[in-house]
Amino acid sequence: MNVFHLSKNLPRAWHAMALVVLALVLVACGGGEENWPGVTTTSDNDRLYISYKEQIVSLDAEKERLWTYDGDDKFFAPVVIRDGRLYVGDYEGRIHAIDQESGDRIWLYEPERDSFMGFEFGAVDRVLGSVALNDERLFFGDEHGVSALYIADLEDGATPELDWSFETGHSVWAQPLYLDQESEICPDLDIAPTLFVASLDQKVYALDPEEGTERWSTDMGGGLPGGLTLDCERSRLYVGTLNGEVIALDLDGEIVDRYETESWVWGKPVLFNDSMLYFADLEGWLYEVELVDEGFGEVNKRRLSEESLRASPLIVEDAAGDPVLVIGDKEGEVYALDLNEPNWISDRDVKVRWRKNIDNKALTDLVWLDGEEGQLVIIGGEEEDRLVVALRLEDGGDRAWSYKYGD
Amino acid sequence: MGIIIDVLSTILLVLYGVLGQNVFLAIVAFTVIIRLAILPLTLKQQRSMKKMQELAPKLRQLQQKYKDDRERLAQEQMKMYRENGVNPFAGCLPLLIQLPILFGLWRAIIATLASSPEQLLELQDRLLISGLDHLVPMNNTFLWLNLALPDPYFVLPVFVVITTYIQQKMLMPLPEKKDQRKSNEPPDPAEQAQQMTRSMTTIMPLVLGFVALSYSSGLAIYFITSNVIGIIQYSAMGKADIRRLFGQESAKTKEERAKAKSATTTEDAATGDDDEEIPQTERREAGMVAATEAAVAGPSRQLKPGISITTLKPNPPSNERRSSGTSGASASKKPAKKSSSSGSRPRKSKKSKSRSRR
Repeated sequence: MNVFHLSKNLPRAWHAMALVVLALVLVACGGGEENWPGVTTTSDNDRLYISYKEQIVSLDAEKERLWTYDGDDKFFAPVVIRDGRLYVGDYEGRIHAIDQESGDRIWLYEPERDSFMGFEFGAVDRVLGSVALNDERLFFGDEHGVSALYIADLEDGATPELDWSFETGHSVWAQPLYLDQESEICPDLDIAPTLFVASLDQKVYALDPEEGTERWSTDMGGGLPGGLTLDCERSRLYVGTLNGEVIALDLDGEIVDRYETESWVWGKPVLFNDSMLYFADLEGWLYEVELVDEGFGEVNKRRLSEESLRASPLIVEDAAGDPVLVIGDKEGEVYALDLNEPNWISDRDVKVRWRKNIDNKALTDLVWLDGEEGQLVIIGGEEEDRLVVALRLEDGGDRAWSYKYGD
Repeated sequence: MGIIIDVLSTILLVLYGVLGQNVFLAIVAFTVIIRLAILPLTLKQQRSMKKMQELAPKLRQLQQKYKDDRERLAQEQMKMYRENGVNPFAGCLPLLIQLPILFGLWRAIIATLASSPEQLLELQDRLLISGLDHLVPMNNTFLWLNLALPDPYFVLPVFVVITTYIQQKMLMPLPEKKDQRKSNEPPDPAEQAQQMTRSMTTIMPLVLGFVALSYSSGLAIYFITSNVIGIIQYSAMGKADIRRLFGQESAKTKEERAKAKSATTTEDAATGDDDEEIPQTERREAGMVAATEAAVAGPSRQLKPGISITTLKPNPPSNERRSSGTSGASASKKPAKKSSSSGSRPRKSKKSKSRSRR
């Protein structure tokens, strides 16, 4: 068929419409902005907060919805809980403070943008990572670096103001780590108040939390999308890189040791018993590294999956008090390993307590809830029908419930 | 498609490493390399389109002749393509081959800039050679831009619209005045195509501008670079005319158009209502000759359906015409003044032809 035959009878409006359709197809072909939800539990492990798209949802361990907060723009970061309030950033660079019990907004910080005749424009700094807090300030990473809001002595209805901003060479997706001598995490640590920031520009920064000035920065040789793990006993930080390494550095920014992995390490390494470090990479390898004064000691590594293990492992005690490591891969397989038993049984195999598929990519960091019938491992992905899934730790990983977005 | 994106993402990241980790330079170099790589396909497509354009008048005559017999029309069309050594799909094939590459390039830029955790996660699977991990994610800051995000000041989308418009406008022929075509004539296929091209000139820049607004600035840089290369490429090939930007014609085009108009006027005056007396075969062949001349004189020139039969004279007779001598005689019996007035036209046409060739 000749194109002229086709075009002869088509009015110009059809040409226009065809091009509009083409534009939509091109936009669709470009891939969406889909992401996985942020999940957080309370310190008592009795409530779950899911941040996804424009909503923050509070659920109890039985999936009963307690409240929903509508934020007008997309959320990706897991919320942070402090003194009965939730804090979270969104894709518009805003920071929300929400009442933990009611889900009501307490305040909303909106960054200033350029405007012309009432029309706002200019760069929007998305907040993709969790915030960090001390008594006076809230710290958050964005597209340009890290910023602080002054939140002390806020009167009712008042909105905090930007205190300072510090530019890094790339976005900050990881949660900053705030440390001082009164820190609950490391009470015996002798350190001046410091904010540690891991950036995608491959550097770890130590900043003065009051002024936002740099104390030191150290190049890690690879992007740092995950957070920093603090080792109080050795006064060290551990971080995984996109260059396929896990690096130990002291609190003065000196690299103590580095361990080369098979692929990118995205998730934050997890410390266990102050003596072992667990982390995974994007080629499905799981690592168990002994921590010694010199840095890294003996290493066990096994290929747990053929798929990416993006998230940090979760280490949780079961009903008998035995530690279990749980981790999920990009194809939705969730693995539970007994840490008290020798898991590294051969060069090829890892002894697995149970293994379940959640019919969704397992991408979120794992958390756990204390359910009526035992502990629940919570994990989520991109499929909105099963956005977040709860698996029973004790019953071979059976699914307790799944949360559908909008339910 | 996945493998194309993987290959292109890897190339883009290598360029980023080689060019001092400057993502802007990497995208520009990447676009240039891809455009050079598909240049043979582009040229093949253009040659094929030109051939098809040359055959458009013949095609139209066939359509007129067999308007009531679709089957026969299809046969004749195929025969015509065969005789002229034209594959009607030859213009589409290079385009079809290019499309996955262009889509892949598009996706590769988005993937490599990795504006979201999901995209960064996907990128890990896309890199085909090791040793690039330290370059990930690319430093996407350039001037005021975060190249992974849309331009907040809308500067690049505006440039995308402007450069796309310029490229389209420089390539598109100016529309012919409507009175040059008789009101009772069916629409000319070439004119239809032109009409579609004109729609594209208006809408396509807006479409790409919309896409540039919605996606990363890196993609907008690709569009702008690609458009600039296109303008340079067509200019170097002598196919672009900057006067068209301002709705003006070049002297050459004006001359050709004037000739075509005078020819049409003369012919119209001469043929009048006796058109039906002219044998179809001669009219068709005359159309072919004129169409070929017009096409060779300039690909942008509008091909006219009404052509003087006297243009047949300097051309070797076809088998068909030889077999219809009476018709030829009948044609030559048309008013003498037409013959005299148009007797020089073939020569003029030839001049025009040779000029354009030079």
